[in-house]
Formats: sequence, structure tokens, C-alpha cells
Amino acid sequence: VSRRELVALLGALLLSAACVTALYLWLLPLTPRLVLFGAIHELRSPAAGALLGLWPLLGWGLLVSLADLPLLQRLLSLGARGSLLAVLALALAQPSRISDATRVSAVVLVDVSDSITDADLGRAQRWLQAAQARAAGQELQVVTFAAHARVLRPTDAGALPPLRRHGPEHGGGAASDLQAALQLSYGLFAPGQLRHAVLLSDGLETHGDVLAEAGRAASLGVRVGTLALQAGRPAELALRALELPDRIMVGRTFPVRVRVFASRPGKARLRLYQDAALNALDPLRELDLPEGETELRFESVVRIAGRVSYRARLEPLAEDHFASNNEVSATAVVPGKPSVLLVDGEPARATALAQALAVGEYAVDLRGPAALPRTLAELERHDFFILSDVAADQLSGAQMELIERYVRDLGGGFLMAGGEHSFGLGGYQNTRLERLLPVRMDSDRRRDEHSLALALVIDSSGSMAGPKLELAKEAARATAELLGPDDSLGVIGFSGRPERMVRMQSARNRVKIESSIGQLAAQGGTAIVPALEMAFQDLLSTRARIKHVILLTDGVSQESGLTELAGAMRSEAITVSSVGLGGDVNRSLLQNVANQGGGRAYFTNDPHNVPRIFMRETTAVSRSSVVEELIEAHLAEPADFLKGIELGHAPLLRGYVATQLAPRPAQAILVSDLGEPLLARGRVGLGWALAWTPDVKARWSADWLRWSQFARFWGQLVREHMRARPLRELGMGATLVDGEARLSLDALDQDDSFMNGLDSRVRVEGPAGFEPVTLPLQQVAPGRYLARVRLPIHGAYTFAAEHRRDGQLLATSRAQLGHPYPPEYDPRPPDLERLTRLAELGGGSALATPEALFEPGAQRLESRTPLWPWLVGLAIGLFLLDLLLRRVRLFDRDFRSESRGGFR
Amino acid sequence: MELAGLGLGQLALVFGGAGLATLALYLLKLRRRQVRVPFVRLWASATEQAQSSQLFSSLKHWLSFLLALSIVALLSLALGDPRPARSSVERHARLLLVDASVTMQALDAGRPRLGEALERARAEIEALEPGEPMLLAQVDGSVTPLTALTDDRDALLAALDQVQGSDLPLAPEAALGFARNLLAGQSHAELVWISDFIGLGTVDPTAPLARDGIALRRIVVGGPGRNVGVSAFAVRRYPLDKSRSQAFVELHNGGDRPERVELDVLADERVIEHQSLDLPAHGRAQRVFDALAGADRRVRAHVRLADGTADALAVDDRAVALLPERRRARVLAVSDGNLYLEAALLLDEYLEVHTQRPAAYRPGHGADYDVVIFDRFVPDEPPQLPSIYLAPEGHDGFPFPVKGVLDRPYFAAIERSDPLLRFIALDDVNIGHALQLEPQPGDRVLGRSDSGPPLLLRASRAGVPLLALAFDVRDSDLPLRVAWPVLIIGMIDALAGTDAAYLDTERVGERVSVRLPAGASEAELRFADGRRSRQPAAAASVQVQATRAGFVSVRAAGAEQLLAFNLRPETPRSVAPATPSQAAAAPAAPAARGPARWLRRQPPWLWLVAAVALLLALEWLSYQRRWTL
Repeated sequence: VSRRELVALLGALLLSAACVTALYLWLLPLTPRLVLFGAIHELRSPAAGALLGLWPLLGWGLLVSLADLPLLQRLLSLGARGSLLAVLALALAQPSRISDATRVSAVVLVDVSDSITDADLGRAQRWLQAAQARAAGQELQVVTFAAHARVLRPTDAGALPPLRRHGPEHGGGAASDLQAALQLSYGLFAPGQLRHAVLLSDGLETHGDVLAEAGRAASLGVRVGTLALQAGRPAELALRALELPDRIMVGRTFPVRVRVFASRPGKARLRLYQDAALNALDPLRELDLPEGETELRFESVVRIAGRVSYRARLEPLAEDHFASNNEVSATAVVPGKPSVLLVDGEPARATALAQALAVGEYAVDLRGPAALPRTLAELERHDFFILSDVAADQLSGAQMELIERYVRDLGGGFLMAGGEHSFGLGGYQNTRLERLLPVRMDSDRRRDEHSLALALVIDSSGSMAGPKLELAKEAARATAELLGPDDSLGVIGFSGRPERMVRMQSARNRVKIESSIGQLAAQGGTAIVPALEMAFQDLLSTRARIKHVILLTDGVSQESGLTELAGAMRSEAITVSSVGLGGDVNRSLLQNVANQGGGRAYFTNDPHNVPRIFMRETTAVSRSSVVEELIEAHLAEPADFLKGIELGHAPLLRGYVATQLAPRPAQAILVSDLGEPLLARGRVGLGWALAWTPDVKARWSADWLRWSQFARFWGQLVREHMRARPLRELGMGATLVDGEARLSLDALDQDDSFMNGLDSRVRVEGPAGFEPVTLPLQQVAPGRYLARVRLPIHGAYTFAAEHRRDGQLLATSRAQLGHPYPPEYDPRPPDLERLTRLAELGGGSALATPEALFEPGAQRLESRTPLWPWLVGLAIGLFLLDLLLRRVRLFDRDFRSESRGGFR
Repeated sequence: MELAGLGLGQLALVFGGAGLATLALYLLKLRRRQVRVPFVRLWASATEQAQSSQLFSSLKHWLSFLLALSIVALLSLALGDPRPARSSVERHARLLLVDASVTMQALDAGRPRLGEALERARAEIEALEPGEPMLLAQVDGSVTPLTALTDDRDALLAALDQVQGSDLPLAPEAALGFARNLLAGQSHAELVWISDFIGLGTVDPTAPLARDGIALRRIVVGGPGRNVGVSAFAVRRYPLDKSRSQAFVELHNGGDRPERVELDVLADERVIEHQSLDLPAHGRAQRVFDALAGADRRVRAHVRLADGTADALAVDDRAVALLPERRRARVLAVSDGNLYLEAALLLDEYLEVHTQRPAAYRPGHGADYDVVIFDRFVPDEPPQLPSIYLAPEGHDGFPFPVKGVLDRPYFAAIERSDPLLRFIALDDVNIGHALQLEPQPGDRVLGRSDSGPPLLLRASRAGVPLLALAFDVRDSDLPLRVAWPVLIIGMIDALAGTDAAYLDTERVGERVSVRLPAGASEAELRFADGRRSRQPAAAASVQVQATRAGFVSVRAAGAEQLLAFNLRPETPRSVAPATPSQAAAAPAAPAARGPARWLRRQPPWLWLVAAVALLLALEWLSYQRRWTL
């Protein structure tokens, strides 16, 4: 290669590089579209045309060519190679022909929520099958949706699986989110194809906003059609609302309105409950409902102020689709006088206190022990609770817990008044109530009093096996614990024959006694008389001021001579009490034994009550906790409620139950001459617990009942310790939005000013299963406070707010809200308007058919057909032509033009 | 590799045909020119050299053939459009979520956080392999899909430009729900989430996604910074004295150190209140401004750091509120003398009250009044003016048929949702007697007695609105209560359109229904960011949903209504991204830039064709110089 050729080569390379660069820069920003042969063509990467810049290099090659070919053939070869390069450059530019897409990628969205009937699901299934039959190789995807949306994958064979409702793992069917389903479809369309979505639904959406989504779908090129699923809607009975008047007055009847919906005429039964019991005035209606909504009016009355809940339950007597919308509830707060619940062992003898309180400012509810509240809601309706002369075995453990929660959590006031069945005498030692009260019941007085010889005669027959005997043993051990060191105890077990488990001995030997009690074993039949005789003999030979037998049996015995034996023991100053356990005992026989023996008879079906009965009986028989003498009440600590009470002129009391003051913060307000508490109180949580160790009846307080300041004393005592009453009531509204309670409070002061800076907290209580929560109300404007809380369970909710400033309670608010059932179960007709509007916005049809699903219609989508493969094919052909031109001498085969040879 | 173009058989056919043709051409012996030379001896050495290089010449011939064959092979292979086989590359179905929530507007060292997120998103899209589908969505208070599931990187990159920041807080549940719905059941499903993850709270995204077989890759953007803001702002007129108003402002400090801030309250862009205050770290402070002087309809609150520096998040430094307009109402009271009524009307200085005896009342009187009050009197010919009737014992059933008298009724049910009754308690009003009015269809009972008939109701007769109280206020203890003047002034406001009740500040993202003037078929909405849209009326109202805080104007039938939108209360106050334990960071895909990005995006066939073009250029030169044959 000569220097001249090298320079020429360098020049050609530089020229080519310059051409390539110039072409690249020129073509880079272009996106040319050309109309060729009546079709639009586009170059995706026109910059590849820069490859044509290599043409100068080809030309230089020709100039320096050593090829032994005629010039014409060489020129043709140059043309072929240049064309080849041009074709390749065009291929690299990625040309494509643009046409309208005709293939359709379709997504069918099927509503499988609970508001869709099985008949409609079947219809949707048939629709899908018809669509699949017409797919003809085009894309068809299916999405089922309720609360969530899911892609329905075809089977391995490509068949469409049956439509199924969504289980709980997929959010269940109690909601409809059409928007989520439409959004999901965006991810399912095949690229480069027309996008069609069809919504098969009743149009009832409970979440999202599908109409807002329709615009977005249109912007993404998705055509949305709809088909209303509305065929064969079933008969539906539903409770829509339960309305209570805003103002309910104690003792006045008022209407409770219940709105019932029936999609077609049908029969049903409706029960109305007030709290846990049927509404007394108007409990039940047999309904013959016409189509549409019917308003029913029930009469009701509230006897006690406070929170009252109503629940209506519909029992369909005809076809009904949803069971979930057959119950509705509401709660109201009934204002009135402060309520005092007085439960006395003998209500007829407690009227003096009830009247004294009622004369004042209280609504008094006097009841016997059988009517003790069993729910916190029932107890919450009272502001103060007096438990007078009721034995511990009359209360269940759950009821004691309720009382504690009433005081501790709800701020209620609780007072236990004395009597033969109160405090220690009532068997309250070591109970939840003893821990609640400000006094302890193991009085020291017992030690220097009299001695007691106690024989426990315990049935150990085969029927006592198991928990009964174990609890009887526990009762015997507890009795041993209760007795003083001067007392004596013997335990006799009996089945077919008596066995002396613990010889009569000093109760001081507790360890030995408890060990011996443990050996009691269940076996054999029931023979009471020999055992009672053994106890009789043991007590005769024992020195004690009081001799007593407690007989426990669960058997059916017809033994003769039992009552006579009890009578004989009584004549020897030995008293007998009987305890019947279970429903099989001979109640009359045991009652007679107790009567003849000068003791008491107890009957219980719950073996867990046995220890409490033994303790109560032991305490009662020893009488060690009772002080019966004339007693003057002395002021130990001043208290606000005693203002204006002239205690110095108070009459004497005639007795009380001896107790000890519990450790601080318990306070003794009044004490006896011996310094023992007569009236003590202690703060427990939000409320007060008080102990009045004398009674409130004519036995120990006979003179107090006649005292001119008796009513004032009790009125002031109750007022100071009852549940706090708010100073003001501020209006609070509650509305339900998307399963969320929205609370708004407008706090205006009396002087037209806004109440700002309140520390407001609202306690939310709901149906069973809802854990009460307390949350703050946030101030958002002058005098305006807001809070939101999600209501996860359907039922009635109450909202109680307290508004404080600097820790001081200024006002309260209350509101109620019913969240009866999911909106999905609201019996509404299909929302055809929404479906029609969606189809309008989505560019589809509101009556989508399987036939139309794959029709492109007026929808346009550019489809690009790449042309580079054709160009590459052409390049192969050109290359072969090029080879031909170089390998075969086409011209001047006779070498006539020798002078123009290529050799130089 | 797999072939997306011609199949293997077709390729074999193409290559076989073209190869055979090439072979045939190379088997042909090129006919050479015969050259006559004058002296044989002169060319003898050249002939000897030619004989010695014959082997090399033959080798060159076949090498040239192989070169030609390879060109044919490369072109044939390009026709097959080879791609990485699915079995050799895990084709992920990806959801790329870009957080566009309010905290993504924060500036990290002067750089927009959302910008960083978009850069990361761009890198993810660039790294997409051909055939790997991806769906791009933005998440704020909800999820907005921006593309379908596609492997078209151009479409994805174009959609990335549509990501718009919003003032809504992040809704992680919505994001997770969308991801699960979209990706559950897909093989190699992956959620790529680019966010600062503020607002993730206690939501653990990993477990629910893992249950559906979805891998999660989190890309954390942003850093800590100073941020103060307005978390609540509202202005309100006093219920009785509506000439006075009060503003409430709550400020917050989301940073880790105490801040001194300057607070301005502006009306018509003019500062009407100013205060400097200290905010503890992560603390709040509330301020109340009484009797705002010069307060205009539109009121704003603005907070800034006292040291003059800008905090990280500007959007929460401002809040807006609307003060209800107040205008003087002309009231005609037709009464025989009712001190309680007159006293109550005197309480509102914006009322211009005139009184008239019933005997002097003539039809047509009061035409220039806003409201007429008829106290125990019903005119023979009712005025075409909004009216209030107190104890309306009328005639001919106007305005209500009277069915008797109620003895000692009380308000048993009250429509508390009605603005008229918002501030007042009527539950314990003692009433001596009331008229037993019979409401007509369309009338709205606002207060119902214990026995059912209404005590307070709203109605319309011949298109004229009216309110009625079924009892003589003097026969009740209502005038002794603060509720009485509030009620009567509220009734006038409600009828005269001068209701200056509190206007709630809306929250961004929530849908607000705005009632349009009668006859309006559509409304023009102008949002705080300048965006405009027209919306057709449905049931005489439009739904307004703003994603940007500020004033929104709704114009219809020549009237304008204003709405004030502020940030939601749950908007995060700190701009520091979630801690690593909450959001384990994952490396972003390596960002290819410039030519590297272009080269990476090209399909294999293109490389084959480009290689052929280069080979052809070189082969042309070598052929011309006889290096190849």
C-alpha cells in the first residue's frame, strides 16, 4: 500500500466518520412517520441511518480496487454493497407499519359478593362460557371480586373454573369494591391489544368509587362495559333501623320505632328486647309485611334512669336471603334522679332506709338477693349500691367481680351494711368483696370471748366423690382456720358407717387437723344417724360454752330417728345445722333436723358454695363478730358529707358486726367505743367502697331510724360517694361513614364563648366482643373537637366523653350509634344508574353481551408490525447478489477491453 | 436462548438455501484475464512465486467463503429474533410503586425527595429485561395505576412523568391490597416499593405479601430534617355575636430539637396576627386569636422557622380557612308585643328589625325585607317572603292544619343534624300548651313532641320557605334559656341566607358534595394548584375531591362557592424516613445512563445486524485489496 493510498484510506475513514456522526446527530431527534402504500410507517430508531455514512468508505474501496472485473461490474458491485448497507441501516432503524389493532384482550369482572344471588352467579357463569366460546384465540381473563379482587386462573386444560364466592381468607363476601376490581384489570391486559373490561355486578358498591375510576380506565385505553346482575332477586326481610326518642323519661311510656323492609310480602315475627329481657310492655309482634318499608311502633317504659339498650330481632317465617340484617339495636341514656340500688336479705324490713332516700333526691330500687344484677350494664344504671344483710353465698363469684368493676372502673359507690348475714357473719372473709371494702372481717374480739366446740359431720358416701368431697374438705379446713385457739373441732366422715377423722381437739392443732381431714375418702352408702350420734357423744364429753354440729350430706336418706336425735341434742345445748348439697337431698328432712336442732338449713347445688356456707355458719354460731350492746358513734375523721349532721345528738346504736379497719387509704369515719369501725370508706379506682357495720334496720339501728337527721345523714352520705354526675352536658354527634364512627363536639360556654383547650376523652363501648377503648377528641376549631374510631363489630355503640380542664371535670357528652350490619346486606335494589353511568364514562355498553366482548367497535389502538425481518431477508438476497457480482464475470467475458483492466 | 422470530426449521431452510448459494458461488472459478507478456523470463520469477503461494491462495479462498457464510449465518440468526430463554432468566411480574404522598415533597439537602424516588424508579425500568412485565403505580392516599402490566419500557418511562405529588398521607393498606390483588398467583411476583415509608406505622408489609408468594423489595429514599407546620387551623364566628370571630391554630414540630417559630395569620394576604413561639421537639402548641381584626373571607395561617431557614416540608407550613360571610338582614316582626322576641332580636347587631302590629299588617307589606316573623298571627294572604311563624293558629289549613292543642308537651325527638339545632338543647324545655300542627308532605319535622306532632318544623309553601314553632314562647320557659336567642337568630339566618355558621375545613382526599344553585347543569372547579375541571351536576350537586391543600372554587350559574382544604390530621409531622427495622432498604437496580442505557435496551437481533454491517464494510475493503476473495 502506497503512502498515497494510506492517505486516501485515512481520508475515506475520516469522511465516513464525519458522515456517520452528522447523520446520527441529524436523525437522532426525529421520529419520522411516512405514508407508504397507503399505510403509516414509523422508524423507531432513525439514528441507525447514520450507517449510511460508510458509503464514502465503499467508494474509496472501489477507487483502490485490485479486483479483476470490468468497471461496470465493479460499479454494480458497489451499488449492491451500498444497497446492502442501506437495507441493514433501515433494519437497524426498526421500521414498523402502523395499523389499528383488532385483537382484543378482555377482562371480565364478576361480582361474587353476598348481595349477588346464586341465580345471578349462574347467569354470570353462562355469560362467561359464551364469551369463552367466542374468544377464538383472543385473550380472556376473569376476575372475581367482593371485598377483594382475585384473578380466576383457568385450569390446566384451559377451561374456565366455576365461579365461587370469596371465603374469609380472601376478605369474604360482605363488601363490594368495584373500583379495586377495575384497577386489578389494568395488570391483566395483553400488550398491544385492545383493552375491554366488562363488569357483571349489581352496582352496589360498599367501598371505593368506581365512577371515579372510570376516567382513569379511559385514559389507559380500557373500554368498560357493564351488565346488571339483577335477575331473580330473592325475598329479603331486613331490619333497617331502631329509633328511640331523644328524650326518655323514667316511668313514662315512649315509642320505639322499628323500620322493617320486605322485598316482597312475607310473614315474620319480631321480638323487642330491653337490655337482656323482652320489652315488658310490648315484647312481640306477628307481622304480615307488605312489600317495601314498614314502620312499627312499640311501647316501652324505663323504670330506672341510666343506660338502656334495645334490640329488635326479626324471625322470618318466609324466605329470607340474609340473616345478618335481621337484628338491630340502639342504646339511650335515660336521665333522672340519681339511682340507688338497695339489695337487702329481707327487703320488707329495709323500707325505712329506702323511704329516707326516696324522700330526698334519689330513685331507690329496693330488691331481694334473688334480683341482684347479673350484668355490668344492669348495675351501671345505678349510681350507688347498698348491699344490706345479704350472705356471701347469695352472690356468685361473677357478681362480686361485677361489683368490683362497678366501683373500680365505672366510679360507682358501694356500701355494705351490717346485719346477721353481713361481713364475717355472711361469710365474706377472703372474698373479693372483703378486699374491696375498707374493713377486714377477722375481728380480734373473738380471742377473749367464749369457746366453741364444733363437730363437722360430712357425708363421704360414694356420691360425694370428686369435686364435692374435695370442696367439703376445703370447707372443713377453712373452718379450722377460722376457729380461735380456745375453740375445739372434730370431723366425722360417714358413709355406711361413721368414721372419726379428727377427734375433738383444740383448733390450735391446725396442721394435724388439716392433715387428718385430707384422709377423708368417698365410699359406700349414706347413714346419717350413727354419725350424728358419734358427734353427739363427742360434744357431750367436751367442755365449751357453745356446742354445734354442721351436717353436710348430698344423699337421699329416709332414716328414722334423725329429727328426734337432733331434738335430743338441742336439749343438751348442742345445736345442729344442716347443709344439703345437690338436687337429690331430702330437703324437708334436713330442714326438720335444723329446726329441731336449733340451727339453720342451707341448700345449694353448687359445691363451690360449701366452703362459704361453712364459714358463714361457723361465724354465725360463734357469734364472735357481733357486738350487741348500746353503742355511741364517735367521729374518727371528719368528712364533708357530715356537715350539718349533729352526731353528738345521734341516738345510740344497738349493735354492729365487729371488723377491723383495712390499711390506708381506708378511713374510719365513725367508730364504736372500742374503736372498731362503724362507718369506714376507701377510694377504689374511680369509685368509693364503704362499710356500715351496724344494720339499716330496726334491730341495731332502731333508734337511728327515728332520728330526725337519719334521712339527711344517708342522703348526704350517698351524694358524696355516688358516681360523679357531670356538671354540664355538651352536644356530641356521631355519624357512621364507611364503618367508622365520626364524633364531633361543639363546646360552647354559657356566655357565647367557645370552650377551647379541653382535655376531652371519649370512651367507646360496643357489642360483645368489642374491647372498649378510650381515645382523645382533637380540637380542630374554636370550640370544635373531632374523633374517629373504626367499629369492627356490628351492633350498638355508645360514646361517653369527659371534658376536663386542668384536671377538673367540666362537662360530659354522650352519643349513640347503631352499626347494625354490613352495608352489603342492606336490601337495596341494584344500582342500575351507577352501572349505566359507568358504561357511559367507560365507553362501553350497559348491556354487554358475550358477542360484543371481542368486537373492536370504534375503539382505536395503534398496532405496530415490525418490518426489520423483511429487510434482513432482503439483505441476505442482496448479499448473494453481491457475491454473484464479485464471483462471476458478467461483462466483458472475452476480455476485449484489455486496456481497462484492473491491474495496475 | 429462544427464538421469537422464525422457527428453527425455517431458519435452517433460510440458512441452508443461502449457504448453498454462497457455496456454489465460491465453487465457481473466476475466469481470469489472459495477459500476454513480451518476455517469459521477465515473468518467470513471478510465476514461480505464484506457484509457491497457491496453497495460501486456496486457504484464503476458503476463509473468504467462511466469512461470507458467517455473514449469511448472522443474518439468518437475526431473522430468528433470539432472546434469553425463559428458563434461564426468572421473568418477574413486577409492581413498581412510587410513593407520591405528602412527605415525598420534602427536600433532602435541597433535593426533592420525590425526584430521587423517580430517579430510582427510572433505574428500575431501565433494568427491566425484555419480556418482563411491570405495572407502574403511584401511591399516596390511594393507589393510582399509571400503566397496564407491560414490558414496554418506553411506555413505562412515559408514565413515570405522570407521577404527581399529592398532599395525602401514605395509605400502606391500600398499596398492599392492590399489590396482593394484582400479583397473587403470579410466578416470581415482586413488589418494588420506592418510598420514605413514613406512615407505615405498625403495618408490616412483608408477612401478608409472603403469604401470597410476593417478594418485597423496598427502596428507601430521604433523610431526616427539621420540620414545623400547622396541624389545625379554623376560624369561626361566635354563635350569637356573629360580628366577632375567633381563630384556632395548632402548630407542631416534627423535628428532634426544639424550634422557635413565627406564626402569621393572614387575611387577603395581609398579616392580621403575628406571634413568636417555641415548640418543643416532637411537640405541639395551640393558640387562639380572639376578635380577628379585619378578617376577610379567606384566612390563612403560615408558620416559619424564626432563624430564617426553610424547613424540609413546605406544604404543611400553610393552612387555610373560610370565615362565613356576614351581611345585614332586614327583619319585619309582626307581633302584638313580645318582649322576649324583641329582646332576642336585639342581640344580633346585624339584624335591622322593624316591628308592626298585626292589625296594621297588609298584604304586600314587607316586600323589601329578608324575613318576616309572624308572632301568633297568620296573615290572610301570606307574603312571598321567607317567614317564621310562632304559634301559627292559621286558617284554611295555612300554613298548617291545626288538629287541636297539646297539653304539656316536650321535645322528645330532635333533628340534631339540622344546622339550626346544632348549638342548642331543647330537650328539657317546659311548655304549657302547643298547637297540634299537621305537617304536609315534604315538610321536615325538626322537633317532635312526645306524643308525635311537631313542635318545630321547616316547610315550603308556594316555593317560599318557612319555619314554624308550634307554641307561644311565652307559654314556655324557652325565653329564659340561652337557647331562645340562638334559635330565633338561627332561624332568621337560615331563611335570609345569612347563616354564619361554622364552615368546616375539608381534608384533602375526602369527597365533598357541593350543592349547586338551581338550574346549574355543571360546575367549573378550580383547584389550589391551578388545575381546572368541569364537572356535570348530579342531583343538583357536584362531588369535589382535592389532593392539594388550599382553596377550591366551585363556579356554577354565575355564583362561586369556596371550599378550604387542609392536610389530614394524620399527616406525618416528621420527615425522617422509617427506621431500617421498619423498612429494610434494598439496593436499587444499577442505573444505566446515556449510551450504556441505549445499548442495554437493544434486542439481540439488532446486534447481529450491526455486526453484519460492520463485517460487510470491512470485507468490502479487504476484497478490493484482494486480501479476501
